[in-house]
Amino acid sequence: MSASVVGRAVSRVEGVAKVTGAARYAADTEVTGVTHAVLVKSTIARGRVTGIDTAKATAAPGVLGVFTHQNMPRLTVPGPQTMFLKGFLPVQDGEIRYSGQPVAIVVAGTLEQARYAATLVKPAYDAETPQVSLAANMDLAYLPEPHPMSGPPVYTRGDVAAGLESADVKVAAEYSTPLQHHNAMEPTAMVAAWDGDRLTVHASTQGVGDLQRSLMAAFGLPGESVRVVCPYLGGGFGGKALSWPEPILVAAVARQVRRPVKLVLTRADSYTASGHRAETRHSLQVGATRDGRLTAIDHTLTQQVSRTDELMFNNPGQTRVIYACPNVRTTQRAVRLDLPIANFTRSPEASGGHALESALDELAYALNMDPVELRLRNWSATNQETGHPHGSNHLRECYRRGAQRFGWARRDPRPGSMRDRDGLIGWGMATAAHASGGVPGAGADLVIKEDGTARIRSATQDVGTGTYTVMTQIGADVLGLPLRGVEFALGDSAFPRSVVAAASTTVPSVGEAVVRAATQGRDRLIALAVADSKSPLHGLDPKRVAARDGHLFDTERPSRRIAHREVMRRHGKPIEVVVSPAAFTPRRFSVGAYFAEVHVDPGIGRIRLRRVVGVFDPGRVINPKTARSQVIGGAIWCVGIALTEHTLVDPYLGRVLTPNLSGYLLPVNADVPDIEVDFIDRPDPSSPALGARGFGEVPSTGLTAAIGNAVYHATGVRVRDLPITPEKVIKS
Amino acid sequence: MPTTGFTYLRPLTVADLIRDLAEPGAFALAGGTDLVPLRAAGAITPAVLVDVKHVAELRGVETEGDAIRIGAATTLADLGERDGRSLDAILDGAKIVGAAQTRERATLGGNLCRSSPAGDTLCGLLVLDAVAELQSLDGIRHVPVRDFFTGPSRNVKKPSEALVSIRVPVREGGSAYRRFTYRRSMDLAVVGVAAWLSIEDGVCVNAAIAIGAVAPTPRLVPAAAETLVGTTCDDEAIAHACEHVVAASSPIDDVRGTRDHRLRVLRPLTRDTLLLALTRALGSSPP
Repeated sequence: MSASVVGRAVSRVEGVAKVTGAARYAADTEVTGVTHAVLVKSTIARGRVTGIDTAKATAAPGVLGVFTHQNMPRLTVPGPQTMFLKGFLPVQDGEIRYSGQPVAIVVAGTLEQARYAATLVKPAYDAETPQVSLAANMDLAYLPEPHPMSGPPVYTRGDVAAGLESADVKVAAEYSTPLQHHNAMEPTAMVAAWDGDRLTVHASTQGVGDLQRSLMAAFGLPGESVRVVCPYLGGGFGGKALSWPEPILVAAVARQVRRPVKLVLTRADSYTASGHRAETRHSLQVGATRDGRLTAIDHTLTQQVSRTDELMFNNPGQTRVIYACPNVRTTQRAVRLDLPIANFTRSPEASGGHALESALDELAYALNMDPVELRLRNWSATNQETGHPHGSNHLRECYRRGAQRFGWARRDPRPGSMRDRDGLIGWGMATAAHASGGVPGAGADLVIKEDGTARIRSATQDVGTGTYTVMTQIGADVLGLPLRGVEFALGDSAFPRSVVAAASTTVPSVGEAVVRAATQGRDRLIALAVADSKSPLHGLDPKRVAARDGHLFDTERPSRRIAHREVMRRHGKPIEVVVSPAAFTPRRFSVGAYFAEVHVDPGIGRIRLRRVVGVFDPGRVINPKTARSQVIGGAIWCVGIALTEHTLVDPYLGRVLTPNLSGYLLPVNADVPDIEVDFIDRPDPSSPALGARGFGEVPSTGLTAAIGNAVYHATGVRVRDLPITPEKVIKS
Repeated sequence: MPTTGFTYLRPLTVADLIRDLAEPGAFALAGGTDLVPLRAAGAITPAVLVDVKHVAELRGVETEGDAIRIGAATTLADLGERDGRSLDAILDGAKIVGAAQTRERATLGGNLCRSSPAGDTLCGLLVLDAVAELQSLDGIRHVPVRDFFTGPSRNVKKPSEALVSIRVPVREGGSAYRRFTYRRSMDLAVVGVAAWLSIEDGVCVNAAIAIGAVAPTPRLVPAAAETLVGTTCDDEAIAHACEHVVAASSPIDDVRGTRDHRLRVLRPLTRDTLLLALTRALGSSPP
């Protein structure tokens, strides 16, 4: 009897479709009679449109419509419950809130005609001087009203002042992280088609359900009239997690021209259309006793918000949750700037975690204590924010195993003490941590067909994390079917409702629903088998019957068995199960430890990342292959954030100066060493998803600080402003 | 964004090529790795695109007498596959432009005509004393690369002239090109340095040093090269040369880097480049 498919390093079930091109992404959608839209974007960052000359564009070859705020149909701005968080729809009024805001939409028969006509649209502006610099506007920082997506503006436990007062050793430091963009491989694309009052939108989105609800709200349509489809996503990283205006605008113009309309954003568009990580400033004070026990943490995070929202996604959650510390305060302040709204970018917690883990390294030096030892001394079995025990937390073992694999014991802690032939060597470490769950659950439906195979569906998304594969594994495990006997379908708002594929919640939410649906299906199958007088399991107590390898069997006499196929053939009709979303999924934390080695050329400050070891505790590992890939991807993001990534904005015009992959420096393969990955792989007993917790974003936290800490160890220079460029290493 | 259509021409001979380039608004299209995005961005509006890649005389690398003749439309990938030391400083650059896909399209002539201050093959062309062969209906002229550049993305070539080939004299010695970038690959030079050294009996008898991305054009620094002649290229001589290199540079702050850091990088990068050229010079046998 073969072992469970859960825990096996299964290759992606949709892998062949992706590498052969059979997988259809939003921009691949073929719709008869499709026309093409191109956006005209504002060249000013603040002010208003005083007029738009559309005469030439309208008369250009192939043009079906030129839409501005003067002739665009009026649309309802969807509410935040649909994950439409922008607060306004462009092309509805003349107000300009940021550079790159759409001011007109041109629709034409071909893409070339639309692009050409878009160049003929001539807006006139009344421009005001924009404010886009966080540094220049820090005195305008304020405490916004609480919002469930921002975390508390002010959180306090204990007495921070007293805690700092009583500390033997204190560290106070300021850290900053720049504006960054998601940079998914696939720029957002969409095709909107109307059939009478029924709207179908193929769009690249992490949340088919949210986008459907935002379209319903914008057009005042019932749910059955709007369908959003997205079976494959070319990366999202949060940039496709919100409901954005473009699908609404494209659907609106499609209705006007009475033709399906397609819009594929350009790479440059993605630097203003899909959100970003807001620039941040962190002010940290950390106090500890001489033996390294934390007495207080005071963490103030100031970040950019837009003119139309005040959501703060760079949440210092790790500071509140991870370490045993009686006195903690986190404060989140906002500064309004003339920039687009920010949103979650990769892991939004990466920024707050970077500041905390950097400060702890500074504290370790101030205490003359090993940074691993400092973290071990402050490990907590409970979530320090809620006071509840973690479901499980093997962070201490992550530190120990990581340190051993890395060879940490050979580290000479003195900065500048480790060298090789041509430069300085630095070793640094940090904790990786991210919330998992704590969101509403997902629904799912299941059909066991007459041939004994099963199909499970949920309106979730595979952002590249491996949802298709791990949900197939979970379903197969519970149903006792081989992997090929289960098909998991996602990416269609017509499927049972699910939460947006974000915030490391897909395994706890969708995984729970798949477990529940598959359990009900299996139990109904067993009920059929024990009720059937011709079945070898006839008359058995259902509790004695289990499912494996496509068969139901008597656990006390496994040779007494019957194939799923046989039970279903005799039953003669499919088994159908629908499970509605659980009210909530338990809020948990997944954790890990990163160790990094850098080489620094002391003459020019050039930093090369040489080695990375990451050991993680995500509960039970459903699929070691996709989990490992998730770590590699997260680590690469961290390399970029630590060393090269930075969106430059012109301080006077408010325009992104680096709207392409040549100017915005993502790491290339040559910048990324082998990432050594290990998992503790012990089930979380509180998990509703076979012992697994959410894990997606954990690996994109922590490594930035481990790299910064390694640079300090190599050079004795603490660069507190990301990215850590050669200039800053030399200058500091 | 393009606002007009254009005519595409694909001449097969040099005679047709120079006739086509005489058309008003004609642009030579080689690999298109710069021209296509520049046109898409609306920076240029060619009326006629003359594809130079199908003219036989513009492809391939041959030895002609005491020079190596490189067809202007020879791709960087084809160049990068050559072994043989006499083109080292050019090949060092050709191998690191963009990504493999870019190098399959991009050409040496295109890199020269683009005349970016940061062009990775240009410092090599300078130190190896390359000569550009320009042809038009008015005839042929040979312009040393050292006289080619007139400013950022500007040069002496007239729009009606075709760059047909680049000739590099075969000389003894070793050469090298190194650059500083923020990424290890797929990046544009923030600073670039090329060097050529001719060594006899351990003594430098001739030298050339060129710098990129730190001045309005790639440029030779003759004063730096002169300090090396007559020395063994010892640390002191190299340090001296580095001072001249820094003095000849005038870097700016831009989105890719700061003036300060470019100046800081220039010295060690010059030194590294000279040491690599020296190693190659000492290791090379006469051609």
